[in-house]
Amino acid sequence: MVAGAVSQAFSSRSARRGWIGFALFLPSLLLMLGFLFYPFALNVYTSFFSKHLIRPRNKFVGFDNYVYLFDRKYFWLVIENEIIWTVFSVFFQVVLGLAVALLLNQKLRGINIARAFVILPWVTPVVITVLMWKWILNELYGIINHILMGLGLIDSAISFWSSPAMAMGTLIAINVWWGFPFMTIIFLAGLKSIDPHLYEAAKVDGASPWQQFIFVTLPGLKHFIAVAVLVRTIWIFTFFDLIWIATKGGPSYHTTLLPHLTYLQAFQSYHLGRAAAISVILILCLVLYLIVFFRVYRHEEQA
Amino acid sequence: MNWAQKRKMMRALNYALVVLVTLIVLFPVLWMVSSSLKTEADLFTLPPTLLPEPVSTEGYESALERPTFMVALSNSIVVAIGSTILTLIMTLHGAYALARVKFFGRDFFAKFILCFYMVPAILLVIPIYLIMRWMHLADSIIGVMIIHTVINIPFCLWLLRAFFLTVPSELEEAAIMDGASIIGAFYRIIIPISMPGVAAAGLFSFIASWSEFLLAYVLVTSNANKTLPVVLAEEIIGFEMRWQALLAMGVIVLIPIFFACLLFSRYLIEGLTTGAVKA
Repeated sequence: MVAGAVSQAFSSRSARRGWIGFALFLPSLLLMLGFLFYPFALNVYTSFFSKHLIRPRNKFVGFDNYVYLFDRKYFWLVIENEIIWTVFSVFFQVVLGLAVALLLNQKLRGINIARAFVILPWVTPVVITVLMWKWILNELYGIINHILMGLGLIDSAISFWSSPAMAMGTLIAINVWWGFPFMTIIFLAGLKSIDPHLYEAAKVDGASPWQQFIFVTLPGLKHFIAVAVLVRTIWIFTFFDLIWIATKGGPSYHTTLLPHLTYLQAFQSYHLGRAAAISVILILCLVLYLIVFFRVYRHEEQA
Repeated sequence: MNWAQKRKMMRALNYALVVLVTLIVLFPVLWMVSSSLKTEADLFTLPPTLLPEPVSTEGYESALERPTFMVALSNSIVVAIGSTILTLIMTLHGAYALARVKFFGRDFFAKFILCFYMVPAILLVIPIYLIMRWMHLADSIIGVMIIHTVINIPFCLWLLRAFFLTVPSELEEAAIMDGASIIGAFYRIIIPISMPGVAAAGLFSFIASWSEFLLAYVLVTSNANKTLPVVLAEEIIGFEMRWQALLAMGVIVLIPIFFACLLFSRYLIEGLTTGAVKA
């Protein structure tokens, strides 16, 4: 009897706890569903309609929006830009991030101060990042042009934004500066997780520092590199702010990415259907990327 | 050269390398600060001088005299602080529920939070604009505040849940045995113990909101409601850049972030690492 009463009291208490738990979580859940999931679904739906931002036009058009985009020459240029921008940015962020992580992983007095300073680019607002790089790279008064000319490397000042290739290269460089500290932080955590005995064993076997890096450090970091590449690729592929503020996608679509195309269609042409179609294409690209990524990753794990 | 001397040399070289790399990484920031303190004439002198000589506050004066900038500054302060407080209220409770209280679908939600976090902002811009217009919040700082709260919720939920999971549950059980309610135990025991996590989550929300560009850019159209990143971006995109004032504005925008970051760099790194490594 007594035991039954106690367990009954407990179960009613746990039922109440369940309700309280749900009630506590509900506000966050509702906000996420309303503002994150619903928009997502709305995008897919809208992409099959001819819809205007201001006028009340809303007509089902099937795949017309997609066909329209595939017929545009600039659409394929944008896809090409996406690949160049994402691959080079991620690659150099990983390389630079790893190099700096190895440098900062040493046991030196005051190294924590250096670590705190090195993450500053990553918390710098993108707007400010663009502002200071535009000042440094200014054709007339920029310090970079001045240094390069002083060293005799160039004869006349470089105009960093004029040609398509130059503009893309400059943007990638800025993006690498801005994003590499994220990699450094992840890799520092990864380096800490490697068993120091492995290095000692490698040293006993007569491994050079380079061999230690190849056979101990890199395999130890594999998981961390994979996570960092995965997260950063998605962010960089869909990164709107940096390029928009620096070049607005110019010269003539040569630094435009899918996000900019979405923005242009929605808020300059007011063509919501097409903008939504671009969003859906963007999602499909990401899904494809995720499938390939996990295939390769699983394959590597098994190997 | 004997072994000890060689070792000392290596150490010195290493130090020099660390300092050099740090300086190179920080160079754009340092150069902006130095340039912002020059007189207008010195700013455009060739060759440029490394340090401002004489130091001038012209740039800061003209930045602070600009009404658009001052309005944006106060908007940004309100939005960033407001959305940080809202985010913390929401996610402290939500994360506690996710970590401790069993309810229907909990584990599913816990897993899917990160998917929400990964959704790129550009995919949300149009629908959010439409929703906000429908709610008559499109061109208002309240709307921006709500949206910043929403985009910060997933990460903070997840970060705080990870923190709460590290707190031994015996602590609350003891308090509940002593007659405290679940909520009471949460406020009096869990939150004080998890202060590092709360600080990290708050810092993230603040920095994210203070820097956020795209959503504020799309939502707000009138000058009275623009935030700092929007106003600065418009100046940069515009035809004529007024460098002296702009560089000063840049420094002003950076100051709160850099101080917060240096003061709390340990939490920030900890939060980022939990954020990325366990994903």
